[in-house]
Amino acid sequence: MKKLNNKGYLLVEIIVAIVLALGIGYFLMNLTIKFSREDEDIYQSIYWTNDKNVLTNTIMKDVEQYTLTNIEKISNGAIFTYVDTDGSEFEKELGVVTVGDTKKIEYGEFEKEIDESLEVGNIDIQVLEKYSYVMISMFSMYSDEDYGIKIFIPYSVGTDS
Amino acid sequence: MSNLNRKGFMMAEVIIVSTIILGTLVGLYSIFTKMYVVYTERSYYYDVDAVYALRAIYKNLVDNGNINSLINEDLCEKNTCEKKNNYFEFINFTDDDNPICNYVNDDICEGLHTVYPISKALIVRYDESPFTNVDVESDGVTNTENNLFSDTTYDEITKGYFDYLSDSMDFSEEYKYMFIIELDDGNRRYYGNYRIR
Repeated sequence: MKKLNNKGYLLVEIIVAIVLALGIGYFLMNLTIKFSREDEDIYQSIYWTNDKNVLTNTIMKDVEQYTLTNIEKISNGAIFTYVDTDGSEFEKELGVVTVGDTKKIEYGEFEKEIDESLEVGNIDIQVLEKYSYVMISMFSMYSDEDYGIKIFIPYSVGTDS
Repeated sequence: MSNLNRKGFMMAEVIIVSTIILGTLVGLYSIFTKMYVVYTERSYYYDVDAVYALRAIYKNLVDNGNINSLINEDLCEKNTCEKKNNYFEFINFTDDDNPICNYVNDDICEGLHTVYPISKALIVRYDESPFTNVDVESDGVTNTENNLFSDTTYDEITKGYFDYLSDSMDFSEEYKYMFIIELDDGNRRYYGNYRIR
């Protein structure tokens, strides 16, 4: 190969080139790792936020569409009793179910496996005179994000919504 | 290959190339960072709990009939009161010793406060006036602090949401008012809105 100039590469050029190459390499590697982690966090966040939204919407749609006549506490959740417009009564169970090593959250036909990185905390159900609520707390082990299910019914259960 | 020059790389060349490379890398970094910041912000602007908390509030206001009082007495239609308000904050739970919850029934306020980490809730006109940083004149009274951006009780995070609303809402749609809610669990803030005709 021909020399670039009469003196060949200078030591300072080689040093500068190496420093630049290593600097860029280090920067790009850091950037890749950082965004790979961010991507994973965001994926988890979207995944669980989406499930939480679907579950909350499903329950609230029932609460608004039918007459909620009773909320019965059970060990792993609650049973909602509804009355349809034709007078027929039906129940839907909301709860956290453990199957082997996996945990699932269920409501009627909705069923979703709870990610291992999520911790299920207290299940708090209150049926009061003027309002009722169901809270299932769920926290990510890797972030301070709260993915808990919160259902607030702003009327006396048993009266038409 | 031909000689680039007779003295090897010059300092000027090294500096120019380094500047271009570093500039590109910094640009890349800032674009990606901004992308994630925007994503993070936006993901908290449509919070399902915030929306259902607002729906519960709105339902109670309709059931107890206080929705009309809220709109007529505190938001004030033009020419019906001395000062036209473009927005009115009717719930504020930021001070535990002095929680404010107007128009909503006390027991519902208590329940909402228990279930959701509500920070504040307000009603705004569904037009540009609450989001326009200009003086508002009504019945000869010029109110210089009748917009959300000049209100010092709201910090930059909350104003960021107002800014987002003012950019994203289509005020030509046939809504008259909009409820806005902020939830604050101590780590993050979540927002929601609910428009009414």
